[in-house]
Amino acid sequence: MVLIHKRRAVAILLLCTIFISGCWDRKEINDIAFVIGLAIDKEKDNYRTSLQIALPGQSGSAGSEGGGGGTSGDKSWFMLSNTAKTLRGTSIEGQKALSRELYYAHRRTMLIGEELARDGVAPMLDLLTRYPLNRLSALPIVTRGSAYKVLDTDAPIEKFPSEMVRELCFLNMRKPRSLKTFTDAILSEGVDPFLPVASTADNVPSNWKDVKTNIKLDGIAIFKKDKLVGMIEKAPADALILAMGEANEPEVMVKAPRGNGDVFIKLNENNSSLHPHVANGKVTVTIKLYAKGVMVDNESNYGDLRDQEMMSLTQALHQKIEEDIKEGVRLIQKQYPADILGLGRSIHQQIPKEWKKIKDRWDDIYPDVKVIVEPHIIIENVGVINKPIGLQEEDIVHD
Amino acid sequence: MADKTSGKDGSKGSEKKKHIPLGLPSPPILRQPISLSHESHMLALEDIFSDCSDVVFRNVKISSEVEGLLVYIEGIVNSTDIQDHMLRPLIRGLIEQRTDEPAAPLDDTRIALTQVKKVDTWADAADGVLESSALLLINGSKEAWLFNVKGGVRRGVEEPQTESVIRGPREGFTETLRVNTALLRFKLKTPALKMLSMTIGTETKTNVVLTYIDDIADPKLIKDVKKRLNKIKIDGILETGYIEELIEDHPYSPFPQMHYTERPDTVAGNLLEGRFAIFVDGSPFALIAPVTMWQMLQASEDYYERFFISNLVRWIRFLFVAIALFLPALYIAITTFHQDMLPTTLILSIAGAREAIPFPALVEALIMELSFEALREAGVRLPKTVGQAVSILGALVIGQAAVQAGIVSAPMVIIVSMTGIASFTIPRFNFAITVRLLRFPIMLLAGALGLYGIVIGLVLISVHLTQMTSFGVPYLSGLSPYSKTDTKDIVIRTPWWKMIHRPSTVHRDQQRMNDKINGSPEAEEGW
Repeated sequence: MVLIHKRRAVAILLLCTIFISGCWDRKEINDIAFVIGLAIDKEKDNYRTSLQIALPGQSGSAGSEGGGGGTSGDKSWFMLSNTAKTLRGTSIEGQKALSRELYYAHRRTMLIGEELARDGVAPMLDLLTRYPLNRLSALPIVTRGSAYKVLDTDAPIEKFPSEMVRELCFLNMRKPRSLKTFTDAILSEGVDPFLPVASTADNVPSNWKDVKTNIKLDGIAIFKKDKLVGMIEKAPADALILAMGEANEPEVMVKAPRGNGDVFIKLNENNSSLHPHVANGKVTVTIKLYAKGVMVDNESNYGDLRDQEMMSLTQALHQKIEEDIKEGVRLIQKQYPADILGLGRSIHQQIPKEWKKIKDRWDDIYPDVKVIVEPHIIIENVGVINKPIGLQEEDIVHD
Repeated sequence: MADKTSGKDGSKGSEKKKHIPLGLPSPPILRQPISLSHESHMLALEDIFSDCSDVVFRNVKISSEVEGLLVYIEGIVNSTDIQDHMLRPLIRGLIEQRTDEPAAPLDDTRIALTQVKKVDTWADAADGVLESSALLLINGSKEAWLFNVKGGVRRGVEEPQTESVIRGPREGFTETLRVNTALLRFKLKTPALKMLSMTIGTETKTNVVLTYIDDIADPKLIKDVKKRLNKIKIDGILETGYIEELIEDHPYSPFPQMHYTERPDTVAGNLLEGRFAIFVDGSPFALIAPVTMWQMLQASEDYYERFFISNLVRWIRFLFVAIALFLPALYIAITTFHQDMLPTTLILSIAGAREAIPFPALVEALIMELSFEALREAGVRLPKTVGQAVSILGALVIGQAAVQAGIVSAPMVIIVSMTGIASFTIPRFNFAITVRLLRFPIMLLAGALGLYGIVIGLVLISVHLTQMTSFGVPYLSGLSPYSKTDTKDIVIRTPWWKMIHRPSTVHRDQQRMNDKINGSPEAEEGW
């Protein structure tokens, strides 16, 4: 009996602890400011952080009747921009002007201004990776010009411009660079980081009425360690992404083997691998690219799609892809030079003995590495019609 | 546990206050043997049944010389039986009797009734009358006759109200004990089906029947139950619930340790798995024990439908039990502690809906859950015609007006209705109530500690469940302690041709089926 009483007393005491200790990190959902996007710029010696904060009362969800109220514009977010000496300082400044607690867990993109990127992003990475609410899976993106301008676009198709940037990144690459992979690339040897580049664009020519600002991804930003060294345009960037095997269903325009005009091939499944070879101190890397292609458009008058002719179309495709990739590789090898493909890493991983010998001289060797591109593409579907549909029979080029 | 507590109570009582004998003081006449004369019969019975307007006294002539007194209680006897099979033969005998012959002695050959009993004390005679017999007293005889003329209006066999099925028998138990035992006997035509009868309740003298299949049920278990039933000393048993609370293992556990059913097929199925059932006269429910938690999530239909369907339904039930127990708590925990766990768009629409709500999520959830429980309770208690109005009112007030007025948020309405629906998928009503009950402490834990609190709640419940027993059988048996044959009927319901063994809660005659039964793919191979 005494035992039972003792047990009960212990149980009651234990239960009490639940209510004594409780609630210390409890945050009601309407005491939180959801930071959806973040743009970081350099302003003289200061950081300028622009936070895109969601206004849930204005997000127009069906359940928000009676809630929110107010007609302060139809945007479902507002910007809060601050400057401070340090990055953390900017959010402390921001919190001073906000009645709700800044909550970063739903921030899935991070725009980095061009100027800041050129100065180096290493100092701010610690905050972005240490504080648990800052997600490592967030996507860093470099902007042309100031980052806040991209964040402050209309981007009418998505609720938030930051969300639009994110979706664009996923369209662009199968596995977009996240903070984690970006940091990883900064720290690894034999590979240099890169990030997608976003810039503002108008949705229609600017002399039309009702112009809305929009965002587009054009090209990639090349980093050397943590510093931006340059940006490359859309076309070579796409070729490089394809060479990495990261492209998300890219379409390649090939000149028709005969006749006039172009044929579009969509590479549905694409994959690539790097095969380094070191002989007498000379480094050769072969990029093998495997893909399955689908003909999506035939804008030429080339009409014969028999097996033999498919071979020559495939040849043309191979040649085109090889040229594109080589052009891209030439850019990053000679102009910057930055090893974003990770040629060095492939040597490190596959022939570590050789890597030990050359790794100290890698920066010097890299621009002269010979890159061979070997595309292996099978065009599987040419469509249900085998001749261009809008042409007369006599205009179609046969053998 | 039950043993311990009753022992404790007994010792306490003897220490503190004088022992008061159970039951009402009986009139002294009951302790006397039946007297001889007609007049003394009248006096005695008027003493016993004073102020009982439902007791009928009728003088009958058994022969020209011998007078008799017929006593019965109006309404609980079958008057036609008395008229046709008692009075008519007696009167005919009287007419046919020739005056010169001595009166034929009265014996049971003259009465066309099956159950006839001789008694010689007033106590037995009175008990007989109270149990729907007709008492015939004869002038000059110290023995009286009791004729069983049980009757009276009782409800007929109807479809069970609480456990309806799509496929399966539609008959349910009634308030009449013998009808219930008969319904069971129809299903189990074996002499091994035992029905031990006992009377519990000093005033109600309720007939309680313990039934089991002798060759299947564990004899130790049956001995234990008999012991527990015999320990009950109470003035009245009006429902199976009295017995359930008086004999269960853990009186302080929120979890039911016996289950009750209105369905004869459910009882039969459980008896075949080695359990026992208890019928109580006057209750349309049978108590079944020992049970496991898994049984609480099984409906009789699980065994009547093909196993694919049964498995789907069973998994849906498992899922919804979890929802019924944890969904409001999860909602509270996630919206007040772990806002990072939901997709951005979802958390924003919840945030948008909650923007104008004046209460914290926990209070909001408690308001809604309590009003839902109130609505449900009102729906049960109110007359059917008013019930409709209540549900419409409830749906409008809680569902729409409260959201529009900005008192509760729309997501919370969804959560509460999901929880409500989920709790109705649990086939056993008593288990569903337990789940509803436990939801509230878990909600409080979630409101105080977030997901950590939910886990604490889950751990506490698991610890309690693992140490719990129902009549000595572990509540989670099959899973803990693990038994390979038992798992065949827990997470999945294997096809009948795979359920060769009875659950391991019974210790003898485990195999219930020929293991190469026709039609099973295994058997087919040999053909």
